[in-house]
Amino acid sequence: MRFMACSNIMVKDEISSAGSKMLYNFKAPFGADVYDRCIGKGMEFAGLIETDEFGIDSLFEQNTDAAITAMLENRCDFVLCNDLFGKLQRQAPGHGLVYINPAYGAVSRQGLIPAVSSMDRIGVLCRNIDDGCRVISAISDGVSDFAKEIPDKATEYKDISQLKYTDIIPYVFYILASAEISGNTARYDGVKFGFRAENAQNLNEMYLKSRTEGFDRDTQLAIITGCMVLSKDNYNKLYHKAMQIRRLIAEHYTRLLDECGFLALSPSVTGKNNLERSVFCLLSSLCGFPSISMKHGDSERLFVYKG
Amino acid sequence: MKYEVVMGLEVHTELATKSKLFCSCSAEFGGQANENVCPACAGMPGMLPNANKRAIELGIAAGIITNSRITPTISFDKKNYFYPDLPTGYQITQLFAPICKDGYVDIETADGGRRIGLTQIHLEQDAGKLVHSYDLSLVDYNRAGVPLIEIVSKPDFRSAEEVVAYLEKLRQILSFAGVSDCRMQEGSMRCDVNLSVREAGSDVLGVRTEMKNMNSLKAIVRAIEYESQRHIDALETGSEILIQETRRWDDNKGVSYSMRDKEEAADYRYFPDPDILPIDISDEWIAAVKSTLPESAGDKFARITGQLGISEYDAGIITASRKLSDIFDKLTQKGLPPKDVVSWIVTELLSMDTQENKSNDDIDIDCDKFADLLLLVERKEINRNTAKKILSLIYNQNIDPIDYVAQNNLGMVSDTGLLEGIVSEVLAENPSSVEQFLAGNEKVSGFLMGKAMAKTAGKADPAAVRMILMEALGRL
Repeated sequence: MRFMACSNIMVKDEISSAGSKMLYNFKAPFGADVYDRCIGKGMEFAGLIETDEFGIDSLFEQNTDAAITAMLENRCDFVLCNDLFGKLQRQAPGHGLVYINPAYGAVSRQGLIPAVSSMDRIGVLCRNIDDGCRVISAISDGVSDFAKEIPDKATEYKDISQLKYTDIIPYVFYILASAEISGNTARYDGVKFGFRAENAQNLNEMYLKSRTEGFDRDTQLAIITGCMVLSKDNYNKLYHKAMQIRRLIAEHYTRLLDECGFLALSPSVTGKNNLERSVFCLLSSLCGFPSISMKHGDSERLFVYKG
Repeated sequence: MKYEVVMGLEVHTELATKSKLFCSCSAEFGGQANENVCPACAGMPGMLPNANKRAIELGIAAGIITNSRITPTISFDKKNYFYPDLPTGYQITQLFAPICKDGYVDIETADGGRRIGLTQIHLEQDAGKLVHSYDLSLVDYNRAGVPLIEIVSKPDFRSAEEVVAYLEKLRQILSFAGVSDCRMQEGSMRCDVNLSVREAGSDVLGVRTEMKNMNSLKAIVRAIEYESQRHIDALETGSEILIQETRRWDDNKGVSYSMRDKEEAADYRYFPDPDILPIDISDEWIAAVKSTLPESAGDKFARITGQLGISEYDAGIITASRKLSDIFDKLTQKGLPPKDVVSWIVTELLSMDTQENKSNDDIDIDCDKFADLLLLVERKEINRNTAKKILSLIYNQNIDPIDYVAQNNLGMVSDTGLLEGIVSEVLAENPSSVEQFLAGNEKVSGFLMGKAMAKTAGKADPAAVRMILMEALGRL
């Protein structure tokens, strides 16, 4: 199989920029575990693909992701990605593609340029379930056989009153994600590697200019939000509260999954912004549940499992 | 008006691990700049931290010897701030579940014993080092990621003397337990002093300032004296308004100065590090660490003064330094009499290097060779004077004492026949001295003794020569 990887997945000696000007010249000193595993299985590497900066989706824009385009142009059989904001899961079914998320922790994050450490995971954008399962088996230690659990399309979906917390999931997600993004991007300061702005008069100015010029809008928004929710005045009100709600969400949905085996949800719903549109993908990110986004019959479906 | 100074200490000390806290780079001091650095401790993206088990065990050991409670489940947190010596832009430390809590250390001062309470001990990464030259600032990340513990005391100190006694006690117990080598000059032990001044008898604390950058015990004492006086002056004359702030001690100028404005007061935005899972510390693990702890300085003092009959003065010198204590153990384990060993260490070894700023922990000698030397004395193969000279050669040039004695023919002359011949010669060559002796001037025997020793080039067994000489004189 031929594969590509989003540029936040490091490939030794290749410029692995994670879509950021900050890392425009960052030649990875080692390769990601997933890359090594794929090569080890005899798969053929077809190159890195630009990604949204660090995999951070825009709040409002809805451009087609470069990974989707690469698949549609038939440049490879699958793409390794970190779809923590749900953008690829929203877009894949509409293009006849499948996105598979392994359970959090099932696939090594070593060599993935981090955004949100507690949710980052490497998933697979592919053409069908069989390809996807083969790749997930290759890059994780377990054997994945999601296909068995894909329901017959005649199955009834019922009782949506159990889908709780859907109004706050996007914002709990964003509070926690932005906090971790602010920490994980702190290393890009222009001191040691990557982009450094010119003409700074002193250290503080060098930091400010490098980070202002090096990060795009959505990353800067996430960093500012993250610093805000972690500040002394807001930590308990926002970050800590969001952690508590995350636990309630995880407990509720784990119980639900215990009862019914899997949930058949929608990868893209109507909403004011991309976070709200991705609400069920973000549920999977927050709780680390494995999931598959695909066309199922006439509907776009996001199947969520307990993992 | 009488004032009382109230102080609390934050002591950072590097743990004696081989590798860093979250990667396998060497944690050794020194070396070429940026020699012990990997993508993880250089802050490259894509590397995940792996906690060093040994560092956690040394943290547990620190808790045991400071009578602390060990936290059953510890976790690590990110402390965010920008500085070029911090490669990731955050320090991994422990805020929410530090490894130890509520310990204490007992100290002795001229005013008697005092108990200093400890709020907590936590594990964290050290930062790198900035080197400034002309208009350049260079960064050395060798130290970045080296494991530290920070020992936070309660505000229990009332004098600089207590602070010094506490730091010396910490150094002693931590180095004996093998937790840290506690070298202030190399920066492996650093201390911040939180200080406030209030009217004697008051139970309200005054405005607190934190002082950093004291690199020796002397500097700490000077800084405390300076800062206390600054506070008292401010209270008495109103010459300045005290604010809660961090101050930097300049030991050359003997003053402290403010490090940052209030506007820039740091908000470290702590949060749990999602890359490191919480770690359980079971009672069995604590017991296992406890069973590997070596004898404490206090126990050793009691044992060698009690069972071995070493004087309290000498035992105090030996147990004040982990190094001397180890030398003592190695030599006595080879069967050498403890009292002789102590005498050789305290009177001879310690006079080898009297350079300033050298502490007894800096002494470096090959214990096997030192033991071989003392065994030669013990077996009367060389005499004490020869041994002193050879000790100096071992210390300075690391020579082998057995080879050296053989090559230079320094073996002690104790052949009775030979010595009798020499004594007869000496008596024949010095008739006037012999006459004086016979006339009752017994001091002259010393002169004759010296003559006899000289004829053996100092190699004779002095006790044997004395006996033969006195017998010969007695027969006259």
